[in-house]
Amino acid sequence: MLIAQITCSRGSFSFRAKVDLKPGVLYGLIGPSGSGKTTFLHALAGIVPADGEIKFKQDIWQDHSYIAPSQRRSTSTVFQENRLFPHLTVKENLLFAEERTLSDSCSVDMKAVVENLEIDRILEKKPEQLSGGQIKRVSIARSILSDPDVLLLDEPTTELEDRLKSKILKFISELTKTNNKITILVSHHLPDIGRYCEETMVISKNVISPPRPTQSVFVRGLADLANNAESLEGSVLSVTVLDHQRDRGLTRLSLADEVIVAPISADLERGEKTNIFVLARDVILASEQPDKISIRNCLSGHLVEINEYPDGFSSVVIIDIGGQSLAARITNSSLQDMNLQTGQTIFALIKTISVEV
Amino acid sequence: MPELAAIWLTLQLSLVTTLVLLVIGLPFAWWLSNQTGGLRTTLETLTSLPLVMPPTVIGFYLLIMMSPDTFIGGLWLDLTGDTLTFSFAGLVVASIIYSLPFMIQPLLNAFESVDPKLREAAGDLGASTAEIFRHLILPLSKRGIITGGILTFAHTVGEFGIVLMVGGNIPGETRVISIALYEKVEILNYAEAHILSVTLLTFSFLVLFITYSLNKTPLMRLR
Repeated sequence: MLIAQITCSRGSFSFRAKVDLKPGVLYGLIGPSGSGKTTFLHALAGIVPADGEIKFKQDIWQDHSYIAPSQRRSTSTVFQENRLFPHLTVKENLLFAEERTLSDSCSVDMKAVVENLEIDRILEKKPEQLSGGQIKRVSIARSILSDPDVLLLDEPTTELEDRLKSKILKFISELTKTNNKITILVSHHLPDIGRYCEETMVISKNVISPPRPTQSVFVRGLADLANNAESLEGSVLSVTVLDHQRDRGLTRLSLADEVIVAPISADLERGEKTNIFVLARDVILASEQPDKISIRNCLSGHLVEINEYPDGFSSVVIIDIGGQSLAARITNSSLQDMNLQTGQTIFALIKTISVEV
Repeated sequence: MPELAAIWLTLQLSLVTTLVLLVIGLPFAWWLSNQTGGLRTTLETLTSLPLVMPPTVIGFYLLIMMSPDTFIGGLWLDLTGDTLTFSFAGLVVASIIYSLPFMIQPLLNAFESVDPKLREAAGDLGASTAEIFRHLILPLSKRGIITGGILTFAHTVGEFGIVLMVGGNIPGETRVISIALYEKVEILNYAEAHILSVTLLTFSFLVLFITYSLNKTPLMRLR
């Protein structure tokens, strides 16, 4: 659908990309700082030049002889920095986008967008009167209202509190599916990518990998990134909401036969499927089921893989729990002391606090 | 108040010059601000020439260019039945050329101080180049446009040498304040010369004061 086969050189770095993105999917894009994530988005939008071909449906956005200006590309970008028009009010900024939509059927409604981003009270304000978080929310609303076929989000959730962040990413994820759009989310906060993106692209060693299911990227694909000082690898697990224990501030989730307790996330409904994210370094392993311990979550599974980590002193152990993979990062010395072998039964202990819903 | 006709004529000349220069200057400066390289430098130099040239030099060339023997002067004579030299129309043409840098430079500075990232964002949202100019560049350049207008107006009020060369001293047609003042001094009528001078001085002070209040940046930023 959106086929991009480009190379891009900007100053000190360059990258290659060969991707084919499908509508209705929220894609994640991760990679070390300065690897070209922003430049890739800008190349798709036609803001920076790139060599190669970009095609959306039947439209050629660029090939060897033609480069469509950004006006002709049905993209909209949420930029990292504030690019609201300073002489217009929030509402006028939104109308500027809405009036210039390229799509014939406006599939988004101003009222719904304004409510979901919680900016109804600041519509008459000028950008200079807004806080950083408000600017981000208005920028997101403006891009959504231009109703693009391809929505490009460059770190859209920095400066947002957790509650709003979840709400907004969920809203974007729903819009992507119901309106059959392509959305690319760049974030250095891996839990956000893990929880909301079905597929993820990784920039590593100057190459943007084609998108793969996020769960597999997270369990096996992050060692290269970690090498570049982003040791935030973890696992995305698909779970079902059992119930909320409001008095204790907990939400119970089920994963295969296991129950996982997480900090309360009251906006989720019973029976709803959602993704949780667990950092590999927050998982503790035990070869026998421990008792008398403060940790609420003790999941039993089979050890399927041990991968030595590039840092030389630790390894990532992958455990199969009801068909899903959980990564645990432990030191090589514990690995030896416990005499862990692939195939054995093992217990993974996760603190409630470490479960990101 | 002496010389009311001269004052009135001066105001008319300045107003017409300012309006014509706004109409010409806005698209020209916008186009120029999007150019790079040698063409840009050449055109910027040409439009800035009146800043450094003695007005009499410009006036002399204009006088020759507008005389009825030349193509332009002849065409004007055929079309209007009047000569371009020693007429109000001729003064307007001369003032436009003489005040050109006072309009173009503030406009260029204003257009270029609009963050290109905002232009990118507007284009990304689907705005055409014309829409970007109309809805983004113009409103964000408001101060620069006002500055250009005020400076052009004030500069035209104060011009002397070029008027003398091209327009002479015809009451109601080309006799502006500065010419009238020159004549007062020539005939040693210092009392009326003082009145005209104080009027011009006060006017100039007010204009610059308003401009600086609007715009905390230096009057001209020549590059």
